[in-house]
Amino acid sequence: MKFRMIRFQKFSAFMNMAIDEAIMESIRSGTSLPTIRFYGWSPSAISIGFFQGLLNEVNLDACQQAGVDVVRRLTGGGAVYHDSDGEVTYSILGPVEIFPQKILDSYRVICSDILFALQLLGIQANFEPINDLTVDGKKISGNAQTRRSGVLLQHGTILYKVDVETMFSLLNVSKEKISDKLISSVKKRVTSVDSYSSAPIQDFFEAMEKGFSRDREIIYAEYTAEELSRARQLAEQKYSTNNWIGMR
Amino acid sequence: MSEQIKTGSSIKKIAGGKLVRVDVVYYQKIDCVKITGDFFLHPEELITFIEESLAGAEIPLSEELLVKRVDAVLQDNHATIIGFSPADLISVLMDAVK
Repeated sequence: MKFRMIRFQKFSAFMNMAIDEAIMESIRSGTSLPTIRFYGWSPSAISIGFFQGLLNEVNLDACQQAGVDVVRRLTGGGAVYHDSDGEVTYSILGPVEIFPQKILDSYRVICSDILFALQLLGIQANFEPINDLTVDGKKISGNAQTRRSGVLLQHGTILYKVDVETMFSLLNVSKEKISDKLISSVKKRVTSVDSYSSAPIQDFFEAMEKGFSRDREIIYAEYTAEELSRARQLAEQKYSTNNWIGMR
Repeated sequence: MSEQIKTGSSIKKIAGGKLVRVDVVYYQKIDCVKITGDFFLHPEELITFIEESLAGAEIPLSEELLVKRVDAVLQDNHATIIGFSPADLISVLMDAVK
């Protein structure tokens, strides 16, 4: 199966979510190949899951003070702090038929590419259902998936370095969620690549590309002009609007 | 009458699953429900159908009836919830109206 791979670039939170939707449309219409893209966030941002309550999850005043954008994703799952310098986000998009039909199976298959990438850096991570990757029981990657009109989108983040002080100053983390995992401090729940590997971030990018290239015919390419144009429209008219961000 | 309208909220992290929060407005029967959390529902837009299926339910709530209502919405729409079950959801709702 041929996949287009688009190398790491940074966009705003609104454009990142809009690009995913624009690519879903172009795959649906048959104008683009299944796609794997790597991207960062500039400025840093919080993304919240489709079903999350904005005010429940995000300290909006702290975000505003820190210049951190807030966006709602097309996918479910939890709130994520996307540090502009501390993580890589990927999206994999394609017709649903090319992925396992069962949702949990497709998480496992796609996340195995990330496990492979981390292994290249000497990091032994584990897939922890439903949608997390952990190292020594600490979360290093969160992933989320949606399937809309025949196209699957899974995106996820892999932490390269983590600024827990900033992360938890911006998020409202519920005590219910913490107590379930029997961990006294939320700071003990997350880790990052730089805690286990001295690899420079460029090596991390390359490992991610290798991980997602396994068993796939990769064609390196860019976003099409039509995708970027559509994404700008979606960013302006949907993802940056209060109607969308504050939907729940 | 307005002083008799009640609001409630309950939140639960489902063991092995996800966080579910239910906010409810009720008086003698459920007026409206909002379900939020870090769960997954495919297709996503079905969440409003589930919320609407719970509106109108009389207090005290029938757990069995409400689970059936949610099950029916899921089955009719070939939907999948990941992170909680219909019974989990109704349990959180019932806590919210206590």
